[in-house]
Amino acid sequence: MASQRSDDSRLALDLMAQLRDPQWALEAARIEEEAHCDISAGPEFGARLGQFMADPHSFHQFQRLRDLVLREFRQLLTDGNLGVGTDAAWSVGQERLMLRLKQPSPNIQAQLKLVLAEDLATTENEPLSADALALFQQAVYAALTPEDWDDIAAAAAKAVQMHVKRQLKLQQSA
Amino acid sequence: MVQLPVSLVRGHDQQSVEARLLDLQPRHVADFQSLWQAQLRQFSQADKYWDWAFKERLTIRNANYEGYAVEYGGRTHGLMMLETQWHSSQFYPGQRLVYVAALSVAPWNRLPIQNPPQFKTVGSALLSFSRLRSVELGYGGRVGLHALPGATGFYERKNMMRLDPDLDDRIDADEEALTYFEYPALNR
Repeated sequence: MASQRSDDSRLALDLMAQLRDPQWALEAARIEEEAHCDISAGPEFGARLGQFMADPHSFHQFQRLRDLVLREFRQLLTDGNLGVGTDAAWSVGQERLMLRLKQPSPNIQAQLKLVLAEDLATTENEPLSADALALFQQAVYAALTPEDWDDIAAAAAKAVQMHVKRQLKLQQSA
Repeated sequence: MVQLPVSLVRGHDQQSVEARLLDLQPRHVADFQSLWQAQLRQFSQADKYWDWAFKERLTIRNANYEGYAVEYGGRTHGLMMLETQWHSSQFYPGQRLVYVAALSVAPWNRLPIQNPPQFKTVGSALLSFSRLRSVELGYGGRVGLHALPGATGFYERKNMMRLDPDLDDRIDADEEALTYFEYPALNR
């Protein structure tokens, strides 16, 4: 263990020396010239938030954002007291929400980014602040179009209707 | 507090100059917004909408994110954000690494925009520094990143291991898949 630490210290010193070595810089410049291209790296969740919402495995923070969004949507449905229509509404709404969040408006992006930053700053079991939660609920609600909400409501209504029909049939056959 | 001398190569006469690599600070974000962004948009660069103000907040509020900048002559020439705790090797399961969450150089240092660039090796220095951080954190120099579409040639020439994206994994056909590159551990 002590030997590994000593090796790491030596490696770190070598890398530090390399960084300020003009000869190393000339060789690095030659490689850059050969490549003759941009060297930018890294995904972005600004204008391309949607792309990374769709690729959560590589980026834990987006997994967290996706989980947060879905959890909040589920809460909205629970608060709506949809009863047996909840699961159907959830199924339609979840799909629409992921679709809408592939290209959210700049306003919704900004709200989600703020909440994500707050969530990342909190510990695992610490709830979001009331302000952040309110902002988040607003963003989740606004991300869905009126047509989406109509479809979610229709799915819930249909599920309730089917449930009632099944119940009536059961009573008639009894 | 990081403050490291780094050697850059001046584009027009190949002379080396000593710049500084520092922790990311608000003045670097301000440079990105006031000096870089218009040119990045003009030349349709993939990172034109990157939000470095948000990244800086992440680095302040989260210990696993670190932000760095290369500064010379009172101007910001390169920016980088690292993630140091959540990522592991795609080639050696279980081996932790430093993930380059964002790396960007000033538009006047990009060969496709300005030839010769004002300074070469800004990106190389930042990448090399990410290896240094990996060694310091006990990850042996392992570094991973996703190259933007126009940048894969550079990372290939840096002899990083390449992992092409699985196009079948995309949820949206229009989604841009980025190529993953990884530096293995350095020989101790």
